[in-house]
Amino acid sequence: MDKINNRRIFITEEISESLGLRYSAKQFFKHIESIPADSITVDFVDTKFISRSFAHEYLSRKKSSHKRIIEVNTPENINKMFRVVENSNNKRSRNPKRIKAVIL
Amino acid sequence: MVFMRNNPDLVNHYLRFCRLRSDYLSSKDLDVGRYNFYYPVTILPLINFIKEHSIKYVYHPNAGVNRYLSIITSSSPYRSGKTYVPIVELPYARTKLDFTLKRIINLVSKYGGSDAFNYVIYELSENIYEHSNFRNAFLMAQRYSNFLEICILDNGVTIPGNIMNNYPDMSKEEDYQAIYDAIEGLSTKKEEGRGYGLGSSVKLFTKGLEGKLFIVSRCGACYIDKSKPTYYKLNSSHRWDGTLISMRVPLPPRNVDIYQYIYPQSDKKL
Repeated sequence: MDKINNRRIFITEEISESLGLRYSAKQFFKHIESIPADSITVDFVDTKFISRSFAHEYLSRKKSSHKRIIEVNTPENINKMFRVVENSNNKRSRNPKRIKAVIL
Repeated sequence: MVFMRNNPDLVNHYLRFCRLRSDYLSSKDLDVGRYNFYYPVTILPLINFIKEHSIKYVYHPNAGVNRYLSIITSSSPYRSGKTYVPIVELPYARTKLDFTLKRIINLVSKYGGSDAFNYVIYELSENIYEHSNFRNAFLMAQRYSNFLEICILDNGVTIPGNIMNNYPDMSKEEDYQAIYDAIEGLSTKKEEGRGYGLGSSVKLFTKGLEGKLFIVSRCGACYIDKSKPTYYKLNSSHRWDGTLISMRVPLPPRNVDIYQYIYPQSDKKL
């Protein structure tokens, strides 16, 4: 059986305790993809905040990655944001409502 | 269409900028002395206008106002303990953006509401980088005795411009309708799960923090507080060729559970 090598990454060390920018998530995954390991454990310990954009980019990149990526020590607020993104993946149709406006 | 005389304060102070701009375009004189008090919703578009027109000299006859305008427009670094974040020009390079935004968030969340401010400022800044193709983008914040005002603007392709570029069948829509559609989640990105940033920020800011918010983009505008939103069709002297968002939140800000506001349909699953 092939041995799966695993690497653990602390996300606060790679980015910061505040995960805000989509760009940061892209850069983070570039780093992950460059690591010669089949499995990556992303440790979210001490993470304080995650934006919706960051969470969306993180999950999109994770989905398309060939590596096995596992999150650990994920604070509840980070988990909630991941769930928000996962639950909002249905493309919405345009609201047909026509609105009125004040002339200014 | 209806006409309205009593505009909200944020709208009236944006109109001050429009009057200064109109006067300058006809007289080549930027008379900032016309007003003795400036909020970010006036200052920020004015700074962009000054930059675009290479106006070298701006002087206010009141020494206090002159000094304030000088400080707020200087590139001096943000210092903790101050009631303002001087005007920050958003960098073209996203590598430097995180540092800039964290300085602002530190000031505005000093009295609470940290998660909500983090969410709103990151999402609105992301929108500028993802959609606007800006030449200039600025952000500033000012704390007053009972409220905080944050203003963010760019001079990019605008919300209606972006939507109409991506949805040619909507090219005849009114600009205010495009703003409404964007708030409702119409995304110009084709990936799933996109298009929530603006609408969720508006909801969190107005319903969660009980703030007021004014969006101007091309010839459309929208004022929203916790009651019913008002949409505006702007005449040419009030248009903004870019997107301006100015927000006021009462102090101290409420510490809200942001997840109640950013995607309520998923509340039960959270």
